[in-house]
This record gives sequence, C-alpha cells and structure tokens, in this order.
Amino acid sequence: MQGLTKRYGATTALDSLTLAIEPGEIFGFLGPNGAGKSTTIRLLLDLIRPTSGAAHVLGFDCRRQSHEVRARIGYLPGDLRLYHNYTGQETLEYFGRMRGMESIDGASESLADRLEFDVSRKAGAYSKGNRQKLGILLAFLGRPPVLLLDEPTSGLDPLVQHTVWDALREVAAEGSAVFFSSHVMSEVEQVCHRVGILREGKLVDVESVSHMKARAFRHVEVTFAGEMPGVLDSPTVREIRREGPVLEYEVTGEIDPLLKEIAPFHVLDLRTEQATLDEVLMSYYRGDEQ
Amino acid sequence: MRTAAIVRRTLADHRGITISMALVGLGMAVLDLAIFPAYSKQLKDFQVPSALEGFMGEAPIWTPEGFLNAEFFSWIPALYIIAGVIAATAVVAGEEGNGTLDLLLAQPVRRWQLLAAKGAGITIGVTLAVLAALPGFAIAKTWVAFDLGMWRITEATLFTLPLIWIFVAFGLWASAALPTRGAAGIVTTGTIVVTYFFNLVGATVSWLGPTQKLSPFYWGDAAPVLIHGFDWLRAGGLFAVAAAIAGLALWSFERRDISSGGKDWNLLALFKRSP
Repeated sequence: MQGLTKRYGATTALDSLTLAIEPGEIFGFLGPNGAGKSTTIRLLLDLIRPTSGAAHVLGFDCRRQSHEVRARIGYLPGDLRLYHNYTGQETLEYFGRMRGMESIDGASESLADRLEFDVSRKAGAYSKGNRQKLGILLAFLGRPPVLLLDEPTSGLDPLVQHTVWDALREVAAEGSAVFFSSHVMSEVEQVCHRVGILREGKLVDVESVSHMKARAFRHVEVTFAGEMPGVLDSPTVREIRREGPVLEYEVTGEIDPLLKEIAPFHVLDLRTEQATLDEVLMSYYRGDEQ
Repeated sequence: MRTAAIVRRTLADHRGITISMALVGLGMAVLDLAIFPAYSKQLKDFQVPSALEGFMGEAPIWTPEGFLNAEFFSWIPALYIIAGVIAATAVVAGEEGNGTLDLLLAQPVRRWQLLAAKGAGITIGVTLAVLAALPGFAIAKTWVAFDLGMWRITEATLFTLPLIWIFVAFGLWASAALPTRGAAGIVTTGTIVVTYFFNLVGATVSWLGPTQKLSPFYWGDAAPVLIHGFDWLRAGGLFAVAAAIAGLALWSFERRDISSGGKDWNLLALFKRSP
C-alpha cells in the first residue's frame, strides 16, 4: 500500500497509508471502530476506490487487476452477512464454485471438523458464533495466499478462538500472508508478528509485538518499610498511586532509573506487571494527542 | 463455471416467483380461451366507445384477435414486468442492503460478470414464465373453437418479451446504480407507471398522442402482431433499448463504491466518477 487515501467528502477515512506485508507474516491491524481498518480491507478488495494512492497484492494492482487480486484473497467481513436460506454446505459450494472449485477441498472439510461446525443447517438458523465459523471457512476456501480477516474471532468462544489462531499460524507457516484487523489486544498478542496501529485513518506506528511491548511501560508496585521516597523527577518514571506503605509507578523502558531511586530505602516487596496492549494502544493515542 | 453457478443460483432463488408467474400465464391462457365462445357471442356487434378505440386496438373485441389482446396481452405482460422488476431490483441493491454483496464481490468474479449473470438468471426465469402460457393456449385450442392460429399467438407472446426485458434491464440498472432496494424499486416503479400512463393517455387523448411514442408500452403493443404478424423492426428496436439499458447498468455498477449495508444515496452520486 502506497499513500492509500480514501475520503468521503470532508471526511478522511484513510489518510496516506503506506505499508507492506510479507508472505508468511501475520499482521495485526489495531484500532478502535472507525479508525479505518475495514476501509483498508475494502480498498484492497476494490469494493471501494481510493481517492489517491495505490495498493498491490502479490504484484497485482488492486484497482486495475482486482479480479486477479481477489482470486488470491480469502476475505472475512467484519459484519458478516449470509444467505439465510442456504445451508452451510450450499454456501461453501456456491462460493467454492466462484473460486473455480468443483467441490469443497479436504483442507476446508478438515477445518470445519476442527471448528466442530455443522454444515447441514441453514445459515439463518446459525448462532453468531456458527455464522462466524462459516465466514472463516469461506475465507480459507482454496487456501488463498492472502487472508484479509476483519475481526475474525468476534463471537467465538475461547476454545474456538484458539483453533482459529492455530489455523492462522499454520497457513502463515505455509507462506500465506494474513492481514488481521482487531481491537482485541489479547488475540493480536497471541498470533501476530507485527502490529500496525491506526487512529482516525492514520497509521500511528508499525512494530513487532515484542518490540512494542518492550518499549511500552510497565506497572511497578513497591512496598516500603518505613521511610518512602518523595516524588521522583524522571521522564521515564511516573508515580501513579501512593497508598500507605505502597507506591505504584508507571515505568517506560528500562527499570534501572527507578531501582536507583529507591535503593536508599528499605524495600519489603517489588512487583512488576507488563502493560497490556490495550494500555499500549492508549499510550500511543495519548502520545499522539500530546 | 463461475458465472454459470451465479446464473443457476439466481434461477433457483427466484424459482418460486417464476413458477407462480408461469402458472398464472398458463391458467389465464386456458381460462381466456375457455370463456371466449360465450364472450364473443354476448359482445357481438358491441360498439367500443370512441374514446377507448385507440386503447383497444384495431380488431373488434369479439374477434379472437381483439379478445386476446383485451383479455390477455393488454395486462399479462405488466404482471411479468412487475415480477421481473421485483427480482431485478434485488440483484445488487437487495444484496447490498442485506450486506451479502461484500462477500460476493470479494470472489474472483468481475462486477460486470456478476451483474450480467444475475440479470441473465432473471431474464431466463421471466422468459420461461412468459412462454409457459403457450401450452395453455395449445391445450385450450384442442376443445375451444378459436379461429386464430397457434403460430400467431406464439408470435404475439414472443413479441411481449423485449418489452418485459426493457423493464428488467431498467430494474437492473436502478439496482446497480442505487444502493438501496427501496430506491431502486421507487425509481423503477415510477418509470413503469409514467410510461404506462403515457401510452394509455396518449391513446385516448389526441393532443397527448406524441407522448405515447415515448412509452415502450406503445412500441411493445402485441395487438398489431395478432393481426399482422411479428414486427421485427419494433421488436429489434425494443431489444436494442433493453440491451442499451443493460449496458448502462453494467457501466454504472463498475463505477461506484460498494457500501457495507444499505446506505444513504443521492442522485448526484450517479454522475460522480470514481477515481
């Protein structure tokens, strides 16, 4: 994606997005609702046209060669709607035929078994979770080299979520690129190699999950016996709670400056806790506002 | 294979309305011919009011040609048009409103192929329903004295097809250009009503005569065909208009953004070009 921009009148849904995703990579696209995640996916599929910029998938232009692009993409919409009068099997067969498949491939049948999905029922009778399973099966049909998944585990129970994550890791290991939008941090932590953070249509940052977490702040709770330090003067250490003998800090980057500050005092206990990606995301947003 | 799957699916999705319309046509064909002897006897020498002459056609109403025009060909095509338009407006706008269009267009099928395949499915369904009247006429003619050949009835039946296809194509265009089925339905129904009105009023009010020629119903009138035989020029013209509107539908669909779920629309959006 190179300078990909989509405007609706005065509203900019996506602003000059430049990003590359490698084969075998699971890329998490993070942001709150309305950040531009779905807009990006819909631009890649040529469902909507960019105001400016361009995108390529496996060398094919998403606008001019959209047919070639879509032949190589498996897609799960964020707001999945199905034909209520079709059974799961009929739905899979219909979309399979559109992909030039004579019948449902063994890999899809195997995935259906792993998801414990009953293909014989009408889509209208499926629960939200089962509809989502069918959507995931549709995206995986024919094992496309690129998967665009908009909130893929929405509505799935935790066990099934793990099955989906495993399936994503497997296809990535086989060389497929997975572009994965989410606002659930825990699943991004679980499966993604890199994360892009999107806010109001702008890509705020792209990093590996491990780097992002390492760069992020952590909570440090220190319990003192007797005298306690005063307010610390450090750009990387921020006191956020003082309650009895307990002081809680938010430490960005290395913990060493804090340890040096509290070393002269009698420390009874010290606990640290990594920030969740939710907090990381919030810190990015805060930083952007400042 | 891809487009064939869409055509088959479209036919299957509309089999209920297709079979219903086919049964209506077949039943009306049998019923009309069955009542013809009594009808003809009672209306023999009936003078149609002069104001309605233009609308009734040149054949007297008690003749097989006049009777079949008044009792079958004057209104049955409108029924098929309505059925075809209901199906056609669902093709894109209906799917877009339901949110299923995203999934369809994410498949390796070109937009024009999708629209053409779905349009073909609906056109085949409507055509089969129209042709289902022919066995009805043939069966009834075996026991009713009806002095009009089966070939002439077939010609008149076939002549109604381009008129029906025009409005199916128009419904497709509205469906492709407008992102809600409601909007597509309003625009298409409005056009049918206005053009039908032009034909009706133009036939009975002399100074409104020129407006009649703006209506496809005027050019698609089967009454002259029942008397003089198939009019290739008119049928070809109507077919060309239907093809042009279908082409416009494909072009409109290629140009625009797909909304996720039915969204607001305005007419100006039709003239904006996608970058």
